[in-house]
Amino acid sequence: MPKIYSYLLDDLLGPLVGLADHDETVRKYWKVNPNDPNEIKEIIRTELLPTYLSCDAVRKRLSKLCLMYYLTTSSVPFGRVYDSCLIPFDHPANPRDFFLWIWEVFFPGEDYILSNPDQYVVDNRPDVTYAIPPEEQ
Amino acid sequence: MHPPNNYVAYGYSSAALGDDTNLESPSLPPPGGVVDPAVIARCRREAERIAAEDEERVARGKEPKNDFVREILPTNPNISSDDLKRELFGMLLEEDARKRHAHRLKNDPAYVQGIKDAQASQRKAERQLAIQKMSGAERLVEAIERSISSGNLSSEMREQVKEMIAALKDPRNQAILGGALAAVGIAQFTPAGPVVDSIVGIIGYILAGKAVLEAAPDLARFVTMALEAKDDSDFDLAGQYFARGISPFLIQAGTTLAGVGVAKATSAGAKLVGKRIAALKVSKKPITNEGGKLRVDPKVVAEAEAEGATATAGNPPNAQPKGSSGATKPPAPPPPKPPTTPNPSVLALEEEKAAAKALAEMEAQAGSNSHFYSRHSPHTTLEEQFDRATTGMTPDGVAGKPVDSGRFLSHRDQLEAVKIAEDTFKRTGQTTFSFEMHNIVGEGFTKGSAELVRTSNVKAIFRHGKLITLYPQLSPLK
Repeated sequence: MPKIYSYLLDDLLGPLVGLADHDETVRKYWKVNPNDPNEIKEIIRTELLPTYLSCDAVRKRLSKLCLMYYLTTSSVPFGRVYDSCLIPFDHPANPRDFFLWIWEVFFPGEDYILSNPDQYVVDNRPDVTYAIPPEEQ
Repeated sequence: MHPPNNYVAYGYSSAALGDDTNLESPSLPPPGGVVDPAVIARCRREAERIAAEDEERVARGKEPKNDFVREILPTNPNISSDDLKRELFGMLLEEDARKRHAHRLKNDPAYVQGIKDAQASQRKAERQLAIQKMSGAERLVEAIERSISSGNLSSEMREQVKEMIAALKDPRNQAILGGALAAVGIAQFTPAGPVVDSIVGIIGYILAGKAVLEAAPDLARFVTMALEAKDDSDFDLAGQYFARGISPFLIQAGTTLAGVGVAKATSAGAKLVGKRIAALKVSKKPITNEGGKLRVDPKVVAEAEAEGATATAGNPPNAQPKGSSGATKPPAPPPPKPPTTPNPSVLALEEEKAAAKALAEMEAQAGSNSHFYSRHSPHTTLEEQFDRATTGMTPDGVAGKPVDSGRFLSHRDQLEAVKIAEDTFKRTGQTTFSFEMHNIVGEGFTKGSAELVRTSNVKAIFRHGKLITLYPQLSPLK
């Protein structure tokens, strides 16, 4: 069965991960309104999108599939995913919105609905980003 | 607003007593929602007496008096005042009420749950009352006992702490300990810093000897939490702090005894507890405060250690068992030589120190934006991690926003994680990634939460080729 690599969900946040420990960045985003879609989408566009676009095709495909899967099923606590990544600003009141806005910036005009999510199995290993087995590539 | 299942009023009156005994709580709701156990016992006795009297009256063809009135009012709509009276006071039921009760027990989950909740609420409140009445010494011993099941002590240390607890529970030792604690101000609950330092010193000295007299943040937290404990969960947390705080000192103290190995030294250390407590008594001024730091009279320490060492020497490993005919047997072989190789616990302690030093140096080299050591190493306290998760204040004193906040359990684990992260970074070029360690390596609090979480997952972040941060990732997806 095809796999969903759950780790890729917080990997999408990559360039912002851990920056709650980076004092300059915390100051930079101190006044961000996490509930303002325009403001957050701009951060996503400038900080997250370039990293996504620089990934190889396999990584992009798996990341996109992962985001589709979780936006379709909402089977993950989006708030926990976000908070466990030490992002330097808060998530929106509805944490899923942040991931929805990622989708809208990364894949404008596309529908995220996955028609048959039941056919996938979820792989929760945290280190698949650098250990994707050849057969999955 | 009081929680469900608590009672807003209670009391009873009895015409048979010739008075209108009013046991209503002085305030509504009663403190903690608890009915005083003494009142419950009195009500039960009274109910039994009146029931017996009524039975006798019925047997003589008279009407029962039914003059026993009790009233408690639950706020849980699923149970009635009668339910609570029956469960708490052992109220006697009429036949139809008995049948209704039996039927509901089988068919009404909300009713059953309501009864269970009420009983649990009463038990919890009674426990809180009991905790309120505990002395300072009893509180500290209670928290130390919890450390055994905290998971933070090795099996060897657990045995050591068990023996120490037994010594601490001795009524004579309790009295002496209580006196010593009172002398440094334990009478004032919510003690101030210097008082906590002194109590940490006393407890540490008793359990592990003079080696513990240095600053120990986890032990200070243990003392504060134990003295301020309001329920069992507070004691559990205090026990965790104690286990973490005392472990390195137990290793140190155990291995400094006569070079006889940890197992033997562990037993010796436990036997020393009583001696050390006694030393607190024999010396008129064993403890002094010097600029807020506790010191124990060196003579007292020396006397106690000497007595303890003598006690351990009284039962050598090759002693003849009682009842054996030693005259017909060859002499016992000479006692084994003290081990010449370093004790594993000593090595572990040295490795821990070396790892801490290496991590501090690595962070300094990575630049001022690197915080894997200053914010996530074991030298940070759980209190600091909790503060960051709830207020945003980092362990190194920078005001930020509340975030998940965790620390590694040992410097060695953290150093190993750093090496894995650097290898991965060099091999893959990934700048942000997670990986899983071989066992639980970190603990902390998720944003805004007071629940301690442990994890084997680690997150590493590199920027411009430098390790910016590396932390235990709490609440992973699985």
